[in-house]
Amino acid sequence: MFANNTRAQSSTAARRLMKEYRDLTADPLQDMITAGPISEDNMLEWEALVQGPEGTPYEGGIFAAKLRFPSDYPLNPFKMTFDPPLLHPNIYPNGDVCISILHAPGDDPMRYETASERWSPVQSVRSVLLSVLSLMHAPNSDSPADVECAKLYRDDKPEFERRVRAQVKSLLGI
Amino acid sequence: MDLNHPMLLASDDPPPFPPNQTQLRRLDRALYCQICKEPFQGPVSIACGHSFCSQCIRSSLESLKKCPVCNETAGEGSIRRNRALEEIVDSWEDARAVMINLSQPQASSSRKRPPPQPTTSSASNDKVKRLRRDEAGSSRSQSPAKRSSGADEDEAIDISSSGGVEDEDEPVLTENDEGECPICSARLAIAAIPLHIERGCPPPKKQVNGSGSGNQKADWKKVFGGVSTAKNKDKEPMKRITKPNYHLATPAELKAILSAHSLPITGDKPALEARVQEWILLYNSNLDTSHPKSLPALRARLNEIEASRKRDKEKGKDALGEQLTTKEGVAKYVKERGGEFERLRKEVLARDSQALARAKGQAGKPIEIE
Repeated sequence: MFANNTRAQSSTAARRLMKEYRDLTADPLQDMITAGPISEDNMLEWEALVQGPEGTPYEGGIFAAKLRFPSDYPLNPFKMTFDPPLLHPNIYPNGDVCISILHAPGDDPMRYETASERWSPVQSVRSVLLSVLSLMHAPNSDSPADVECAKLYRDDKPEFERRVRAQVKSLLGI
Repeated sequence: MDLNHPMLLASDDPPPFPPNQTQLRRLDRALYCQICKEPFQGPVSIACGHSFCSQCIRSSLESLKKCPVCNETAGEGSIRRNRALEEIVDSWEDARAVMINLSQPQASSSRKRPPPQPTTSSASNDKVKRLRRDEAGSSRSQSPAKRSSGADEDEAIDISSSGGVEDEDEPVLTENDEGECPICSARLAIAAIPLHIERGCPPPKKQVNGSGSGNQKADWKKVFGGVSTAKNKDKEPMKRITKPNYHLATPAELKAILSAHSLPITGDKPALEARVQEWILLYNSNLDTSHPKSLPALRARLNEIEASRKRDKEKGKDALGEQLTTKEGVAKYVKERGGEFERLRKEVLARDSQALARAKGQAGKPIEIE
C-alpha cells in the first residue's frame, strides 16, 4: 500500500516514520537494535529487537518489543512494550517501558523529571532505543516502574543479576 | 536488513550521500528540520534561535509552547521567517545532485552515464577540466537548448554552469523572467533588479513589466487615479488568519471561518474545530515560504490530511484512547486491568506486614519471572 503512496498522500506520522525506518535501516545502531513496522499497511505499529548489551546481566539475550505510535506522532511519544516482559526496574511487570524520554511533556505529577528529559518532536525511535540500551546498562532505581525489582536491584544486586540471567536463558529456550 | 525493500525505495527522498563523505552528510543533515526530518520547507526561526519548518513548529507549539530542541518557552508570536535559510535549502537542493555526482565519479545509479572511464582519478580530473571548459566556453543562452534536448551526459555540467538551477522545477532564467531581489525578496523582472536595488528596493508594481520608467508611471497613476489599485484586488489577500478561541467558538462561528475560505462545513464541532485548526496551520505556514502553494492546492492538502487521519483511525490506532472515551470502554478497561491493581495492592499489604522482620532474600519474593 505504501509502495505507491506519495508525499502528499501519506499522513505526517506515516511519512516521518518511513523516514526513521529508512535511517535506522541504512545506519543500524551498532547492530544492537533493529526496528521496523510489523506490516506495510500500518506504519504506526513497529517491532523492535534489542540485543542485551555486553557487560550487563542482559548480555546474550535478544528482547522483542512492540512500539505503538499515536496518529499525531511526532507531537506525542510512542509507547514501548517488551513482549514477553523483561525483568528490569524501569519496566512494568506487563512489559511497558517507563522512561522519561517517552513521557509526554506536561504529565509528570511526581515532578521526578525535568522537562528537558521528556519527549519532544525532535526525539526519534533511534534516540529512545539508545536510551533504553543505556537503561539496561544502568537501571534508574530512583523512579522505578517495577518497585519490587528496583528494590531487589538496590539491595541484592547479585540475586537481581541471577534472576535476569535466568530469564534471559529461559527466553532463549536454553 | 534489506535495503532494497519496496518500502524503502518507494519514497521520493533524494538519495543519501555515501557514508565516507562525512562533511557532506553533515551539511546535508544540517538542512533538515529536526521535527519532520526532511529538508526545511518554509523555514522559520523562533526566539531561542532554533529553526524548523513553519508548519512543523506551528503544530508543535499548538501542543506545547516550548522549543522542541532546547525547551525554552516559545510562542507563535516569536516565529520569524528565515529567508537566508530558505535560500540555502533551495540552492542546496539544486546543488545536491551535482555534489553527489562529484563525490562518486564512477558509480551513479540514478543517471545514465557514458561508459566508465578507465581509472577513478583520471576520470575525475577529466571531469573537472570539462567543467571548467564548459563554464568558460558556453554562454548562458546556450544551455536551455541543451537541456531540452535531454542529453544525460551533459546534465550535471549544465546545472553547474547555469548557477545550479534544477531542470523540472525552475526553468533556466532569462532576462525577461521574474527573479527575486536578493535584498527585499520582491519578485520582479531580472533585468530590473539592479535598478530596483539602486533605488533602495521600492515595492514592485505587479502590472508593470520591468523597466524603471514604467514603474514610475505606475507609481504616479496609483497616487492620482485610485482606480488602478482596484485591479490588484483579484489577487487574494494573504494575511495570517487569527486563531479563534476554540473553547468559546460556536459551531456557527467555526462554519463562518470555513465558508469564508470555501471549505466544507460538514461534521460535528470537534470535526469543524480540527478542520479550522488544520486549515489555519496550513494557511499561515504557507505564508512563510517563497514557494507558496495555491489556495486550491492547500484545500486539496487539507482533504488529504483529513482522509489519512480517518484511515489511521480505521486501522484501530488510538484504540485504547477511544475505548476510554466511552463509559463502557472504561468499565471494560477496569475489568481487564483490575486484576493488576488488586495484585499490586496485595503486594503492598504483604510488604507492609513483612516490613519489620524481613530477611534479605524475602524482599524479592513477589517478583514473578514470566
